[in-house]
Amino acid sequence: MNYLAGFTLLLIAILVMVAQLKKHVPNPEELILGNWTEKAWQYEKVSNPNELHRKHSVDTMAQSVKDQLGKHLIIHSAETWHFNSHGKLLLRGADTVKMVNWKVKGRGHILELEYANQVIEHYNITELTSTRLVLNFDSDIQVKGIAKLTFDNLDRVTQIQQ
Amino acid sequence: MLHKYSNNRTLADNMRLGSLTSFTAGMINVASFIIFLSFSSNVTGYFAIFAAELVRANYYQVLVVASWIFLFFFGSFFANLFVVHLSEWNRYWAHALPLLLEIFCLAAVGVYGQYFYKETLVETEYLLSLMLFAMGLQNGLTASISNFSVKTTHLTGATTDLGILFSMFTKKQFWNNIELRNKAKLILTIVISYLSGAVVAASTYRYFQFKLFFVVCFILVVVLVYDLYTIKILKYLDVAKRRKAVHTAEKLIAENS
Repeated sequence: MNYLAGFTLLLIAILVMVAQLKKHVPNPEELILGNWTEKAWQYEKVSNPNELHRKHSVDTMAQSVKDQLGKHLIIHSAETWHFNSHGKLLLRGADTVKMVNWKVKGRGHILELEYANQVIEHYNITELTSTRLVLNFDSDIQVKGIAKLTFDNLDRVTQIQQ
Repeated sequence: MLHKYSNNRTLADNMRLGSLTSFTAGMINVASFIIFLSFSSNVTGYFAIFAAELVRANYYQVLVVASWIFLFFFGSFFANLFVVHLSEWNRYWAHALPLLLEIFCLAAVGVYGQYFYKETLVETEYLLSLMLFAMGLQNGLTASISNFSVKTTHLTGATTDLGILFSMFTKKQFWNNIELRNKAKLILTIVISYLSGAVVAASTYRYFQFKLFFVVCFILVVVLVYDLYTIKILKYLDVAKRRKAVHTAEKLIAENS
């Protein structure tokens, strides 16, 4: 009986410890809040070897690159992304502003965007720190491959510059 | 399905238990993937993710994945705890309690998901935790009472065993071995049931949403009740047989005297 109590207590203690530790590590839902500015749109992988040159595109912010990679996505016209704590994301472009709903799913590795017409898009959160956000998504309209979208946190950059 | 233990179990017992529980595991896994974009009935992938996230210093994900793996382990530990410590008191209840706990966990996911879920990350993590604990309970229980021959929440071992068995069947002496053929039958039943559960969940999730978990609970209740029912019938038959024997004995005594 002592063994039983000992084992059970040990396992519960481990579970409580992990839950406590989690409180001290930044939560992706909180880290993502704020203003993010697009830094680069790139191909990370292409399915067709003939398209390899696209991985080395020089101008990573050209509208042509964005159109090629994400024309089928609503985000392709945005330049700055503002995530607020109420689950709304403001996509600001050169002459457009769009509001969508955002959620972080899975273990904190998937960003789900839901548009007003209930269209849902999923992006892999590959990297998320207080200064940098990297999203990956499948690009399969013109060139099959995995696209990479890099952001800088505008609020942090401004803080650092000041 | 539940009251027999280890080598006393027949192929039919294992096939009934294996098919019903792997059907529910397939449903749970697909439902969790569609709703939460994460799997919940196996942990092999999570070990790889744990290592990858650790290297990338994503400590939040490391802790989340570690707790999921641990809860699956904890479920298995808990299920076998009931089997080991309560079997002498009542074998049926020792095997049924982990299943009852699993039903409770999955019903909780269904109720919370259907009426309270706001799709926040913390809610997602806790609901997945409950599901992984439930799957750990199920896998631990079925493996424990069947002498490790029924494992229903993942198919890696089953696929490996099938590959080995099928290669053995290329020799006539193994093809004629009833034990090996029964093993292959059991594994195939588990694989087909798991796949069927997954397809049913994927095709009906849009209509049922979180109510799908209630369907899973209902199937698990069938597993529980089936045994209670058969135990009652067996007891009734036993009592009837004894009464008949006593009646015959009394009749013989009366005739002799």
